[in-house]
Amino acid sequence: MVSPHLLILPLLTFGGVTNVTPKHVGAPSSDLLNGRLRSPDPASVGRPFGHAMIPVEFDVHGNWRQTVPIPASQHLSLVPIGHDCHEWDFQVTDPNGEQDGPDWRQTTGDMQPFLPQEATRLDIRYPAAGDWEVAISNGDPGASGYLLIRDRSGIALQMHPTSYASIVSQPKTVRVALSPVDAQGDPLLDAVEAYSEGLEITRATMSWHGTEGLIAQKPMDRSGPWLEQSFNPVTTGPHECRIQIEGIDSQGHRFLRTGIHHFHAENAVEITGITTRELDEERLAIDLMLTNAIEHPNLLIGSEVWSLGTGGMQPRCWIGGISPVRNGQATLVLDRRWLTAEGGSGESLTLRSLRIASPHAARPLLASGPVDSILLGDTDIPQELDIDSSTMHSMRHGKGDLGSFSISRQSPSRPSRSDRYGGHNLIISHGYCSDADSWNPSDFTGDVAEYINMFQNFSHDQFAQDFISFGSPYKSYGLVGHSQGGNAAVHLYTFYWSGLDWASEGRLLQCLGTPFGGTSLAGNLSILGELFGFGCGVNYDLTYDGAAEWLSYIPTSTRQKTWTWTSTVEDQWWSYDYCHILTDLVLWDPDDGVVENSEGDLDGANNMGTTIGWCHIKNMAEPREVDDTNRSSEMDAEAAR
Amino acid sequence: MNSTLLLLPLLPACIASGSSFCGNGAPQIPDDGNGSTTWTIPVDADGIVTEARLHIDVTHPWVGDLQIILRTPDGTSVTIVDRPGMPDGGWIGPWGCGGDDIDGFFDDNATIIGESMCSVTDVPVMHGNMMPAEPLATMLGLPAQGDWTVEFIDASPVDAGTVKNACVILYTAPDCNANGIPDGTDIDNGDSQDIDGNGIPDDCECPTDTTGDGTTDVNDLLLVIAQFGLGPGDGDVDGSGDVDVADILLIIDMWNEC
Repeated sequence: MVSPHLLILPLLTFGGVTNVTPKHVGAPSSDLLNGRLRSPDPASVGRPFGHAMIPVEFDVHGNWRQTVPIPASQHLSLVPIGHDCHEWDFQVTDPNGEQDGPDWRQTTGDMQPFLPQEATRLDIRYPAAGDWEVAISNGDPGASGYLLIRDRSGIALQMHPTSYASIVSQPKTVRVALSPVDAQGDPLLDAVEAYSEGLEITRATMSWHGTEGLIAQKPMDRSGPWLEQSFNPVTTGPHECRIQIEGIDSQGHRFLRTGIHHFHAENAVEITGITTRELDEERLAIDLMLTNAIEHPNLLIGSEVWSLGTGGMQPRCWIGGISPVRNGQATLVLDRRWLTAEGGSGESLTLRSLRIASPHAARPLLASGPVDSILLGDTDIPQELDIDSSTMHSMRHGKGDLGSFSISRQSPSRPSRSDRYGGHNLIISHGYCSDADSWNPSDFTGDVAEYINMFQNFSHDQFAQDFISFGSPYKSYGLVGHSQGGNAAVHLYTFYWSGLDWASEGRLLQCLGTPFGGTSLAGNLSILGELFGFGCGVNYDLTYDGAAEWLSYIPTSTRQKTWTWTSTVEDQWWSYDYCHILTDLVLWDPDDGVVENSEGDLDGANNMGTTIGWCHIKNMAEPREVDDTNRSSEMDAEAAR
Repeated sequence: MNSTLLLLPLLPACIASGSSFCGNGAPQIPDDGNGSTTWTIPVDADGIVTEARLHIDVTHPWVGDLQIILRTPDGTSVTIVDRPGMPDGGWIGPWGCGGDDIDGFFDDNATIIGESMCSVTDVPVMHGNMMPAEPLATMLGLPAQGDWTVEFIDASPVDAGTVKNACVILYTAPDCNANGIPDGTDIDNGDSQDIDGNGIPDDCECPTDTTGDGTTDVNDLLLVIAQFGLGPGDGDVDGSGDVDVADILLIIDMWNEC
């Protein structure tokens, strides 16, 4: 049915102010015990670096040459990258003087969407260990680029910050070590064991970069098997730490690795006071008085709640959410029914591991890290509780009666629709920095609204708020999100009231190729973006660290309403076995060319598995995964609307 | 008409009767503001309304679409439900409450406002005793007799609903002087006399007209004299159980007045 209201859709979607109401998120103590709502150890997050990106700088004759140490492995890949790299002459000589052979294979492939040209890739089976000579000629004199090298020696660079926090004038420390890994990049030994078995970094440099370019470059200090170095950012904003190391394995073979860690420095927020007040007989408001919060209209807050009761002092629940900051004050809301439900009393009510963060990539803002313990005192709790679905829903999401705010940002791109005004639609969304060539609405039946907002670099929070704005013409909806669209859907359902809350039974949040654990491309290939001007910039939510910290605010109740799918090519060496000629050298198998399959699953969600024969986006080796009509049909049939 | 003895315990002590009257009408509520369905509730009850409640049973997948209006026989209207959650109800969103169904009583004495009962999980979302959007007290003092109506409007697209039942529960009392105030209240407040204590204001009857000829005159005086001292009888104007001087004085006091 065509609704006469369609005529006013543009006004609703593009012109008005949209009301946003945050949820007061609550979760049981089991979400603490299973670790889902606890900030993970930065050392355990993300994937290691198995590649090296070596800067290429052409001389006045357009030539570049370098000796590169290569370890023993089953497979070596090299790709020179740069403007006009399809015109470069690329010659590699192994330690035996060989420049070609039966196990050498040279292919060309499209680097779209990362670079608008073709690249040449050299794959060598069972490469000889030793010093290789790499020569590139026919470049523009003075031009620069990168040589991307990946060996499958099973040695990876572990690189992580010692804290997720990046605070102005506070040292940011990054630590690196080597470890053997399996084909998926999972460590086989920890750093101490690997070091004791002869895996050692022999040379390392760390450079710190800001928006103005190189800020500092330092050698790294050894600390047992680790090397580390610190940097004090003096301004807020984007920074990155680049590391180049040379290592040696137990057989005495040398190798190179590089890695990048992105961070966004923030001014610290401090808690100057905490008060509580009764909201009603069930809920307690916990007001946090803050300094420097003026920079943040909203804050992401989370805390464990402990009290005496069964088993003594125990965690009873987790509370959190996004709180508007008003008059320097943010508010947590505790539904005291959690205390009763979890065997607690109202005695010695205590907040533990209180975190305050930016809603963008969950960037921590407390200079000294999470607050270990804050005693709130005693409180009254309901003595008896009949927990029906209505009660539990209220405990998980709150009552929606506090802290609404308005957003005026609207989707600038006109959406494509086969939707129904005032109806119950399925919103299908693209991901990060999309050119709008994503889902095919005709693969979905019924009322479908295609969200399109091209070439955006949204945080999950911005993306989710844009969904609210986009979805305002609909009474309710389910969401099918590709890539970051899935993250944004999960963020939306967790932190804000929306049409998702009114959707029918069915699969509420369906995510394809969504980097729940982050993607290496958010870091590694951003360096190419800066150099060659592609992409939409660094997205901190999509880095491994940002993803991990963000995920630690997503409760099981949301995850249970999430369905995930991943894709990949069949990975057989010696054929065109990768989704993307370039990203294959950065990602760990199996991957879809952008997201490693392991990072596309979500702990606690309904992970539906990996489909072979598809890649993340167009211009890759296989068709783009959004065109898998079998999956789309399933998503359509099972969707909540 | 259904008698509702079960409801009697809820009656205020001063109210003599409470009855439930249920109506009929087209069950389907036209969607998206394309008209309405009106249920007519014939009420056969004397007197004026002293208390009113309304029972509504509607299935609708999005109660935020609904407006429900109750009208008395004289056309006085009270909005019972006015698109719950609208305008933009914060967390509820721009389309009003998306909960399912209404099945409950609207009652001014309820402790919760019906439209505040929005929930993602409860079905029916509006249930139990609820305060209406506008007070039913507006209808107090109006004659009960006649056809009451309940109009159901669906003001928003897509979702449609069905009326299963609509009943008014009316508590009435006589109002013989038609001043909109129950007779008993008139008497209690001193606004009407009831010299014979029969509960009927004297402005609705003439207790000194012992002969029933329409006036208080010499014939009434003669009748009192004839029955003087004989105990209860027509001459016992003040209902004291005896015909005495007081009755004669009342006759004189009311001479020619009724």
